[in-house]
Amino acid sequence: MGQSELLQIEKDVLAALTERFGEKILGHDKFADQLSIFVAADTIFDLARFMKEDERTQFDLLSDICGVDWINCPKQRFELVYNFYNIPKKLRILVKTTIADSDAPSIQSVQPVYSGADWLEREVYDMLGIEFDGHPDLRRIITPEGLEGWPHRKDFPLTYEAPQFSHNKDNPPEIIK
Amino acid sequence: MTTATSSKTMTINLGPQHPATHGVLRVMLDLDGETVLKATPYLGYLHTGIEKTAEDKLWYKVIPMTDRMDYLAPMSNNLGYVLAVEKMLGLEVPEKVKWARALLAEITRLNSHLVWIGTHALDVGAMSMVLYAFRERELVLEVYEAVAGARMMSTYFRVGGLAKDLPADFDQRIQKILDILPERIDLYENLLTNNRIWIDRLTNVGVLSKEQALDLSLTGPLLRSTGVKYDVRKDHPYSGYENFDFEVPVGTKGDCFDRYLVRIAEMRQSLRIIKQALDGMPEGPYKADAPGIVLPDKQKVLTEMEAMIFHFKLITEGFKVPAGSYYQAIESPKGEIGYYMVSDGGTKPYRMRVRPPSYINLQALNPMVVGGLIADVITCIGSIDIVLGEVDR
Repeated sequence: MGQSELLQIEKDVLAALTERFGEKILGHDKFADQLSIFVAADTIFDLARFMKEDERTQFDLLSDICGVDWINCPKQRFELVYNFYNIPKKLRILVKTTIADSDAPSIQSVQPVYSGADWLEREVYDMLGIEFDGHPDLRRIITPEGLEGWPHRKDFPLTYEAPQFSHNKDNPPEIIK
Repeated sequence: MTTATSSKTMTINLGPQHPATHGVLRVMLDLDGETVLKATPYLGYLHTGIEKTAEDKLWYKVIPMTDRMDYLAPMSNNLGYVLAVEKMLGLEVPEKVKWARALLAEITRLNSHLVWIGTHALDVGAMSMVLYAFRERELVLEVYEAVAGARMMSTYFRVGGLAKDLPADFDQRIQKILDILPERIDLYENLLTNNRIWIDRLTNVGVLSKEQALDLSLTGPLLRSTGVKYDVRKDHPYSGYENFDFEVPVGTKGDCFDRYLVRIAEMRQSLRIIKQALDGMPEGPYKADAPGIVLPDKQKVLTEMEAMIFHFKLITEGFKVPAGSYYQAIESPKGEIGYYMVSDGGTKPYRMRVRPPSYINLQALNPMVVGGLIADVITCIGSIDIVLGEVDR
């Protein structure tokens, strides 16, 4: 997809972020009316606080957090997309970061900054198994307790095997064909 | 119970099978006498894995699944999805399609708000409202049936246009709504707005401040009732909303009564938009001229070879969407519904993320009810306006 021109307000935000975080800001990309900024994963908490509190940014709404599983690139397997919105300036910016594949992928929670991130992070944890350090109540939210595996990962078995719960772990159901 | 504040403290379970939780919502309530100390919602009873299923469907086959999330506002859900895919394809649709979509999205808002006011009033004790509201909803469902053939799961929008042309009697049906509904909304207001019991049950119940609402990522009438004027239709017009003249109603106190007033005012604004869209509806085709993405006319498929080939290829293989990602937000009746679509250049979405307004707004339940009475929990659940199909997806 093609690149579009940055607006002045977007340039200001990008400049403020680059000034504060330097090389932690890995790049940016604009498609249609949408600016995405790529950042290093270890800076996400400070960045969220900066996005909310600095007078040059002031993104008052954390609209969404979305996790994507790029199973073919293990070094950047999990992509998290933080969707910040500034209501007075009518500006939406997607902040993207990646986490490498490991047994327990983790990132800092932004829940202390934006309370709305509580359920959003719980859903990402539930679906992708990414742990959010500092989250006050990290439990599964949508799938039932005792489900093993992370449904939105690309290697989660689809219709070929029945999902295994802890209660039938020793006595798994027959494979559905 | 871990922290008992007095000997009267107890935990009770509300739902999941309870008529006042609007579906299968389970809430654990910690109570001290009749005062709520904490409300913990448990979700997932209606989880169907829509986001995951979409990864295994051709781009155009995802549309029927979006209906089934917020089943009271199917056309809004369709609209968000098709706009996201059209943006990624770089596809422009004819003016008539934009206007018709906006009109039908506003009809959908009426549908959702009518069900909301009926069930909310029923929860609070105003029994007759639900009968009136469902009577008027019938007018809306008749429009759905006329355009799409189905009364609830319409699946009427397609990538690049509409499923079929608007029916011949479309104008009369919409005109009927425009004639009847304004006085019926007056009737609702006569019944409720100055009703002593209604005011007592709703005023100063579930109060949220502006800062709280923003911090909790709330959108839609819930956010607007606290005085924040955020409406995607105004701030980022899509599908021709820039052509319409309408107001964004906001509240001041952020309590349940303000949310009621905001939604009633929204219904009147929707009627305004519908009238403008009906009067100014441009002539033209009901789908874009994009072979390979939009199905050719059936008559051509039967008589011309190219059309037959396009039809066959589109149905069996689908179309490819350039690699990339895009977040499309629209204003659904519940709030900002967003589709974050990721494509790897193939014929199926690599990832579909829905920003579900009901799910995120439901987070406000605990702050709304803490310190209130147990009877107000029902008022607050009704006033958030959730659809569990969308909460759990």
